[in-house]
Amino acid sequence: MMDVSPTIFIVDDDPSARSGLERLIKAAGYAAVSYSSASAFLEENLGNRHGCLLLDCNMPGISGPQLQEELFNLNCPIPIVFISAFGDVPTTANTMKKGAVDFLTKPVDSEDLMNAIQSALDTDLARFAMEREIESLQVLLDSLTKREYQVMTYVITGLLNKQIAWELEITEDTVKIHRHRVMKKLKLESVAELVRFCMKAGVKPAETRDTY
Amino acid sequence: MVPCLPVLISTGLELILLLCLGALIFYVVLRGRQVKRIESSLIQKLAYFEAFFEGSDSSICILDRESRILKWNRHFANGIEAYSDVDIKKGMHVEDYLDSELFDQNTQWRENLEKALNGESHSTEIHLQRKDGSSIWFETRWIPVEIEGNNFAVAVVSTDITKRKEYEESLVLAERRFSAFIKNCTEAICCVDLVPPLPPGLSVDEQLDYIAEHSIIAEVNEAMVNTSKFSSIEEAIGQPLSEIIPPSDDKNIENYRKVVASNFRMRDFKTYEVDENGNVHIYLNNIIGDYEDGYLVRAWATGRDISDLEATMNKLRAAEAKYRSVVELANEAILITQEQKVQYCNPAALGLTGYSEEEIRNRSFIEFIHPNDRELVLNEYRQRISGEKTRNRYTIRILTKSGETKTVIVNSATAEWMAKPAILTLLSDISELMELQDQLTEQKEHLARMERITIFGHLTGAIAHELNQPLTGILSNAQAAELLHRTGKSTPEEVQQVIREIIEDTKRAGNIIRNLRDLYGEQKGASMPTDLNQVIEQTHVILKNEFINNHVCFLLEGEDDLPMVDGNPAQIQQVILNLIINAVDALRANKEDNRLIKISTISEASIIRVTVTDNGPGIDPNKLVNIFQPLSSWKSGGMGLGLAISDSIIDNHGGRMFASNMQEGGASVGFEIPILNNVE
Repeated sequence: MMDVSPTIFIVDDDPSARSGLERLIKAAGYAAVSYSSASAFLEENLGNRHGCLLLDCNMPGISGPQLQEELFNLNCPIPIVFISAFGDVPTTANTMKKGAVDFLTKPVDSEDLMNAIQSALDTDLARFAMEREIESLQVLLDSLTKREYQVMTYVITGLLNKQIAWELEITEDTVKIHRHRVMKKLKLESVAELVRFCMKAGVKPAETRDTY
Repeated sequence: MVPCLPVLISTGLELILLLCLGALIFYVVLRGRQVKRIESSLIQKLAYFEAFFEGSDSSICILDRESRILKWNRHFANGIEAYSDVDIKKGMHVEDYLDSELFDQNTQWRENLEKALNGESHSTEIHLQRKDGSSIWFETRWIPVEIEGNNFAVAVVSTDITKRKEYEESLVLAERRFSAFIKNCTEAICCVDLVPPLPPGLSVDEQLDYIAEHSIIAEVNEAMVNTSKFSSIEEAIGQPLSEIIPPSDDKNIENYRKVVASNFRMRDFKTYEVDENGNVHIYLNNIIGDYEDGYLVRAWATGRDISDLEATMNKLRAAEAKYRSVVELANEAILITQEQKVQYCNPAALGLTGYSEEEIRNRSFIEFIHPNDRELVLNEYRQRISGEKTRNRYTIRILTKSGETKTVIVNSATAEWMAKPAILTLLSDISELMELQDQLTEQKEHLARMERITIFGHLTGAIAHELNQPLTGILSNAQAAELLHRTGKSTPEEVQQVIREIIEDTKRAGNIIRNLRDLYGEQKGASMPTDLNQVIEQTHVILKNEFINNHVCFLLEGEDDLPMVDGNPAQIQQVILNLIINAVDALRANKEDNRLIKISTISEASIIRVTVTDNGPGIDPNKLVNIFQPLSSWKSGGMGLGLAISDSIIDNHGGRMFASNMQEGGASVGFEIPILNNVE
């Protein structure tokens, strides 16, 4: 699956730390690229590159946590290992809550660093695997007609055919036909499977009239 | 003819004729003798006259009707000499010798001469001025003298009465003065005549009765009248004494008795009188009686109202007592010195020096002063004595009896002691104060250290951050090298690069530690030439991360070639740190993209000014006034000591701190310190 080797992106304003970290990571056999500021990293417009981000907390201009926020907003969920010269608890907690893989304190031991990087790369791999799966599910979903998709969103809410028919103001038989086609196109056997599929694919259940 | 006469005589007729002849002969003889006698007597008289004329003490001249000088005596000549340079000659006019205008005016010479020529002998007083300017008085008699038939001459006999005149004048003057004195004297004066005089040998009671009846006021002055019921002097004179001092009053009777008992000779005795307003007056009185042949003719009495004087004296005594007790009880040592000798010292002075009064008295005050300060004190003393302006207060050390050194503040002033100029000196013992001062300084030092530690705590994050960067570099590089070596991937170039970076990072870490050590460690006022720009840059290194964390843009506008100051770099750094941290705190109110701190250094004539400005909300104007006072923190949190300690640090450097809000917003806080060469 991993046809492109991962890169460790280092963003740190301090030249000493940046240089040392880059050398260590390269020595450990990873590809590493370092940037002196968050904006320089953003300018590269890396898209969905494999790898992880080794991010310093305190930097002039855009700080580490701000970059994390920015990447989230850009829908670029690259795993981040924070590395701070002096991490306070609130900052640490905040970044971890927002999905940081780890929060390391400078000076960092190579073993801890490598563990964190490995963990981040694993996350990255899982992320890519997930993305691929979602992509394939999406292909299947794309084969559904608009009406079939609509019926499916009602099915996963747990409504009976009769109820779906009432909701969509169609006959129960029509619902049955659509439902059958959905199961066939998505290659699924049971409603439970359909529900799981939809969760993975990010399909949201329909909003039903709350007259029940 | 005579022998034939008896022949003829035969009868009575003959006898008669004979008798007549005899008588005639007798007459003729007698007459001849008489003439001779008269002649000799005349000659004698003339001699007498001449002797009198020349020998007289009076100046005599005889003038004819035309005022020509016929005859003069020695005195007249001498007298004329005193008025004129012209030699006196017979037949010359008197006026020729004298300044006619002045002479005539003074003497009315002509009139007097005419009067005498008319047969009237009279005398006048003449006042003349001599050539030398002195004046002379003559009593001049104008005596008509008959010469050559009906012709008259005038003898002018002048007697020098200058002395008499002078006496008369001075007598008049004395009398005038005397009456003026009596009139104007503030003392009440009264002269009482006893009419008839008080005879001797009477008992005291009899004398009292006599006085009551026979004493009459002869002389009195305004002051006396004012104390009596009379409204004027004229009214009082001639009245009985009892009108002024009625003997009905018991007190007056007692005084009368005393006077009589003393034989009318009393000095300085006090009487107490109540005036019409009910105020008590105290009089100091004198009485002197005048006796003639044992009879008391009159008595003089004087009285002086000393009520005010008495009251003042009482006050003065009270004040003196008060001041004395103040001086005696004063905590300050008080010394009075004359000619460097101690004349007086109070108990506090004895307490201070440990000497007894006898040991201090009359000794030179210099002996009590610490040898190192003697010159100073002597200088002050000399300046004060010569009236130069001197310091009002200065501090010296003194030596006590036990050899202890005490620090005192000296306060001197010129004063008077026993009517002679003296120097009044106040000494305040400030030894304890000095000790307290030392303690205070120590505590201030301690507090400053505490504040430094507080700042240090505040900056821990920033410092750790700063220090951990090079450490990260070192550790990472070292571990990379180790890893490369282990995996056999290391190249010499790589290793060299690793080592170079490790060395640089180590140096960097070392510098940071050095920068911090001053701040963190304990240091005591070691002053050295200090470059403020360098101090600010070092501060910036420590604070770099603080700025990053708080999104503060920092601008340093240091003047090039800034002169050095004499200062303690660590202490100054503490001040700068404080100012910057305050500014950073203030800027939290601003948006993250609008936080600016500017620190500038400017040298002026004798000072360097360091100003920290920010574009924050500024300082509360109410707190701006005492912003450098302890515990006047204008921001939430913090000990509130930062600026107070900064102020005391800058004060110790001979500088001052300032704070203000800028018109365009934000605060401007900073300090000035003297440039090194200008430090006095």
